[in-house]
Amino acid sequence: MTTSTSRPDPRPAVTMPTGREKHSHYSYRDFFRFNRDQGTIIDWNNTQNLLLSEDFIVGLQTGLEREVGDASAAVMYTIGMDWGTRDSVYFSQWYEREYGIGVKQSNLLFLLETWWWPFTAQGWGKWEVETESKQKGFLFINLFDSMVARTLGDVGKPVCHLYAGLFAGFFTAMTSRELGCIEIQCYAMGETYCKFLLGGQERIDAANFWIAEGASAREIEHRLHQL
Amino acid sequence: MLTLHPGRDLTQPLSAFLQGLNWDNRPLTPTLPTEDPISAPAGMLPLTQSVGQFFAAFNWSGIRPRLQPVPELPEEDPFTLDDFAALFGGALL
Repeated sequence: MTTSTSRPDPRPAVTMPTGREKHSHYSYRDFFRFNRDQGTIIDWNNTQNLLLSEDFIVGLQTGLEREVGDASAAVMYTIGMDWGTRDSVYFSQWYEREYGIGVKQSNLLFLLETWWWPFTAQGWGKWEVETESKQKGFLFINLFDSMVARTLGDVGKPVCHLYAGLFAGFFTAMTSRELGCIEIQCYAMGETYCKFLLGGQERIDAANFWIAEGASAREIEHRLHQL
Repeated sequence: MLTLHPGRDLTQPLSAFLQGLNWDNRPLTPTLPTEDPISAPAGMLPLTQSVGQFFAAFNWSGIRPRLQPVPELPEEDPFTLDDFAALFGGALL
């Protein structure tokens, strides 16, 4: 399943479900509102959802590679970045509406988990943010059950460029710092989960160089701590 | 509410009920109040206790007594988005 941040919608407004005062709304029936008459799936945060098959992801990836070749990774990253940037604005709005507190005043880890929860509900996979390295100005994000990698299978290279862009766009907008993100380990390379590095562009460039040299995620992590 | 047979459960099987009766009329050992009086049904308080023990077994305040001190909650991590952003350095966009 995939979503797009809502835009002005000409259709009649959907009434919000009762029990809005509860925040534990990630059960299937709470989070999604299926409207058969309108043919819509609106989620708790009033975002429209689309049901897509794995064929869509394969088609998107294959079609893009056929059109632009190796640049497909950059295109997917850019799409993700734009998505993350837009979503940061939308997330800030619904977060404040839901919890009555601004994103700047919130506990960071709660804020991040709250942001990713809907993605998990929509099928984008679970995540884990490693904040141990935050004092050094970078952090790792582990992604379990990536929708893209799971679909494309073992292709021997990182494929989750959309996720990397999404993280880069979201964190750049939320921190007002220019941050980049790169996937240093991927399920599509035979690993058990995907791992992303988030940080300033100089660190991302260094990691990119080490990946080109054939360094593993563990080696990259070790070298970053030595910088 | 106290039953006609204080301390006796009238819903138990007949054999169990009859075995539990004090056939030999031996003096009953006074029962001390339980550690958690609120969990003892009022109807089960033995009437062989002293008046002081009997009334002490009532949870008059309605508040469950704590057997252990309340653990202190850890202070909330004040780490916010701005703190996080500052770690990356560089100029603001």
